[in-house]
Amino acid sequence: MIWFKLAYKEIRNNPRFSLFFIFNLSLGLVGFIALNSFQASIHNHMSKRSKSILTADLDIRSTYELTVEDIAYLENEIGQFSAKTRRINFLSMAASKNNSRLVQILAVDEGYPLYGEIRLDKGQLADQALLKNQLLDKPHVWVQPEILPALDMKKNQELNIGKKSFLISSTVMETSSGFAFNNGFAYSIFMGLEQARETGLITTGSRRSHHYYYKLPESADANEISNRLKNAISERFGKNAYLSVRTHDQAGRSMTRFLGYMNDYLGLVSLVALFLAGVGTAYLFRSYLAGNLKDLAILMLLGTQKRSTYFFLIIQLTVLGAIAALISILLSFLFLPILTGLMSDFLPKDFDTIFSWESVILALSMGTLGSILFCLPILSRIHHLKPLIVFNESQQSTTGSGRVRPLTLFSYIPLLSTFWLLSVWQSNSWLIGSIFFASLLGSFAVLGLIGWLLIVLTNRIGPDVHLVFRLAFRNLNRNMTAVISSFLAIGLGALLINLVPQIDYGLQKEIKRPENVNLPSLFLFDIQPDQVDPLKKFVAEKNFELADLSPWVAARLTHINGEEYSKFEAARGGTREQQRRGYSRRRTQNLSYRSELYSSEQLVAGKPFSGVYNPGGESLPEISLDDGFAESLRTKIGDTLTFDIQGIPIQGKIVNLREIKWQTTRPNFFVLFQPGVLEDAPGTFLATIYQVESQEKVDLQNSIIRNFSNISMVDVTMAVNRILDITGQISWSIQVMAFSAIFVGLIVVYSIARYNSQDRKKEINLLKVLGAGFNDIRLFIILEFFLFGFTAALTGSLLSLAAAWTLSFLIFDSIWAISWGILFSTIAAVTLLTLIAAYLGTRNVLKQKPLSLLQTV
Amino acid sequence: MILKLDRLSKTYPSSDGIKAVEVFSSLDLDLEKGETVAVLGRSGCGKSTLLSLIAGLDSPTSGDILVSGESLVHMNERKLSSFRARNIGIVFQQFHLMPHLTALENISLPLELVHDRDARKKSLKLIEAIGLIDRQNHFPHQLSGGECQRIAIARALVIEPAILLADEPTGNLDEKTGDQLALLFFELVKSINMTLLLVTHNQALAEQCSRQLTLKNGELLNDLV
Repeated sequence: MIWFKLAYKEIRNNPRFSLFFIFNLSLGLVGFIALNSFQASIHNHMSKRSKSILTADLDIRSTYELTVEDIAYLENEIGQFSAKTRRINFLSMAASKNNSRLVQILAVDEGYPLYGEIRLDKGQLADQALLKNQLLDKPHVWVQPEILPALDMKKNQELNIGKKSFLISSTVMETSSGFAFNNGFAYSIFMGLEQARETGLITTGSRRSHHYYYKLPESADANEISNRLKNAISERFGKNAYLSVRTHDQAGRSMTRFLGYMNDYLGLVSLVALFLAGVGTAYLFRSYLAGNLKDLAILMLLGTQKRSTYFFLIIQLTVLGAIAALISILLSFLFLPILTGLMSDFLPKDFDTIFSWESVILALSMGTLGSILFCLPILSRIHHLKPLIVFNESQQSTTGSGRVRPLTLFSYIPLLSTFWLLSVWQSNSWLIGSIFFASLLGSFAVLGLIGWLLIVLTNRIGPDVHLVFRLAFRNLNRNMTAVISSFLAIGLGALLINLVPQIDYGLQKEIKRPENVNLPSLFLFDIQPDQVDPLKKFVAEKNFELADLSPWVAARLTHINGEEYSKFEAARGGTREQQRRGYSRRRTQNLSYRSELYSSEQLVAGKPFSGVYNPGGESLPEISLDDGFAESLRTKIGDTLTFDIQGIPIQGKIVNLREIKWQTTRPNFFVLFQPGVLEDAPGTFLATIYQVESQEKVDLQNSIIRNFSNISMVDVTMAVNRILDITGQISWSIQVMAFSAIFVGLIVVYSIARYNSQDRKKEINLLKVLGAGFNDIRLFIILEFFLFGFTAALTGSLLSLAAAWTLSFLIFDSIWAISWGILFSTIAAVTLLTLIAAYLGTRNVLKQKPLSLLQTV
Repeated sequence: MILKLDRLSKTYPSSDGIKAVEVFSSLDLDLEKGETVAVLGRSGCGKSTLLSLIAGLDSPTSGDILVSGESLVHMNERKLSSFRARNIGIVFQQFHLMPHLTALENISLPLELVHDRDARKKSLKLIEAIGLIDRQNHFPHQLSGGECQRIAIARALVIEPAILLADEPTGNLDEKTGDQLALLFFELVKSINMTLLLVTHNQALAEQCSRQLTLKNGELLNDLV
């Protein structure tokens, strides 16, 4: 009990240390805790609304319309269900008199949605009577409001889709299933299923998905039925059937997948803030302990065991950490809405944030355990503390000789291990978490080294240098630990805030105008084989050229090297690597064939195609794969792949790997066959048209739709702008989190400057007594902070360029461009903010009268 | 006259804000060029306050302080700093050397603050006079207490001040080192005919001054000489 009492008194008697310790740690924890709550909110939303998201308990999806017999067979497997309905989705062009846009048609049937709701303009609920009256019985449509200005139309005007005209009877303000993420490219239009048939767009060869929705009894287990259905589908339609089953749980997870990824990256950024706060708290504890070692030695002299001394300090750290955690919980309440606001574009409209008990427990354990772990290396000094120092005149000798002892090194292990595990946990990926942790440590080491070099170099300046510079530079050496701690905080902060915009700049530049490649103006798809020649002629008559004409054949991968290909199922709660591998290893593949490579492709392994395939020969058809795709399939040159195309197996051999610049917006394919293999397979064509001025684009688009109503088009400029919007929003969200890290870094500098200001008091007072003017003293302090602030900002920013280059090289196909503007403004802003933080921390001493020097008599 | 205190008073507000603490009132003192005066007195009698007022570090409640004929009371902070840099040398009990400057740099510090071009030359001369020329590039933590105080004395004298204020200069040294330092200190002071105001508990040290005063109950008493 005595130790609790002593610890309490110690905290009270050292308000400066206690307050700064709590201040630093709580700010470092805020982002981390808020993100944890955000993640919990996502899970909460998903679990509560998964049925509304799918609009059913179960969804059977097919790429073609099922026969009555097929449906009866599947429903027999489902067993009891209380309701069912259907929906067909497909992309098409919608045209007004003067304009046209790619849209996503959602053709719904009676009973839709089985769960959730559709809200029309003025908040009107689309009930079954309205659905029947407006969509099912009449050629009416409900459109996403954004489509009206895009087509220059108003409600109650007529819109052409395929061969039919539809009246826009309402706008859809909200659906509980949400609009799909890609709807920025193709806004949604609801229409009746039977009305959709009359557009002439639901024909063989057109790409669409048919959804068969079922509502199950309360007691039914959707997952169990889903598994049963999968087996039944496999039995009746074969393992390569173009049919899949989804439960509401899976739909919810799929919808929040993107948010999960965002949360991972934001979480990693928040870990940097926590790390910086840790640096600050460790420094404060070090200074506190250095000033109090004598007191501890006195306790030991009085017979206290070292164990009890540890206990005494750990109680203090635990109490301070717990207070910091409680404050961080309160601050998280303020930060959570900001986070939700940042992600609002990616969140459902009815998204509610919750603060879970799990977050509270996490905050408390991170606060208490974290403060102990951060201070453990300093705490380990107690082990070497001898009561003898009580008799020493100076406390200097008690703070350590600078020799690194094995125990001190060992005491870093728990901190490093915990941080590594936190990185893995936060990123949901062993690989990303470990790379992040290693990069953080690497940056830490480089920054520490540069900081140390700066101190060593500035300490070597000779007596000829101006006094103010000499005082500033030499002072860096005297406050080595403080300077290096601040250097790390500022350097890492600068690294982070420069990294995201640099990557974003490179991406935006490349998306807008890929190097050495002209972007097409229009991208056309769903071109039927018999339309190719008429379309070519038609486009030529308009003085344009139909370019990059590429066949598009849907297939399913069935075997690799003769062994049956099983899609990697992303385990529930699996790592991001497992999930990504699962998504990339989908069965359905888009195949194409051509003999030449595009300028956006480069052969990185193997040999080019040998020419047109000879069906009479002994060799297998040749296949070319995208190198990343080959890696995800774990295949190499010489391996064989077997595809099922409408029931016919086609086997080929991989002869080369290509690196594809996907950002060129040309019809690129993961899998290419050599000519002479797929020509007779059922499929459609893709094509592009280049160099169409924006004013001509609308006319050309409209005239193509009038003559070829099933062909869909994407305005590449608009699509690129939408991509830029999305990357901009993602980048901004991460950037805001990075700002919070630099903010914590500045708080660390402020705390250190403020805490150290008492140590500085003597020398500043002395300078005043010796006649130094206020301006001289201020200048020397500013110079000192400028020197390390600028060097830290510069080093951090240069490191961020190296990191941006590495990330661009590894992830974004070497897209790389430096924004000098961002670089210089980061360095200038961070230096200035460091100066302000440090000046605010020292200001109180600058203004004091130097009387204390004489108050010894 | 180098120093004149004219009816100098200093009162501090008490911690409860009601009852003020009067340190001294209507204190008068005149010091001529080359005069050495020791001020004795018990702890808390106001010796340090007196020194801080004469150094221009604090302002009196009333009265005037004239150094070389110039009134400190009417100077602003900026002018006071500049005046102090050229006219007042101070030696502290705790040495107060700048830890990250060498011995020579510490001595030349006040001259550099007033941008004296001969700072290095003058400092070298003085460090030789105190016998530490071979220690000129050492930092304070590499010097003994006696050496540190010698550096501090040289730093105070290097500006050739009108008056030297010394606050228990041997108080932080052992007896032997203190005696040696006192010898050197008075040798230097007398050799340049420096005006000295010394605050001390040490009677032996005080006796080396031409006048000894005792600060008691807010008054300067026992002007023995």
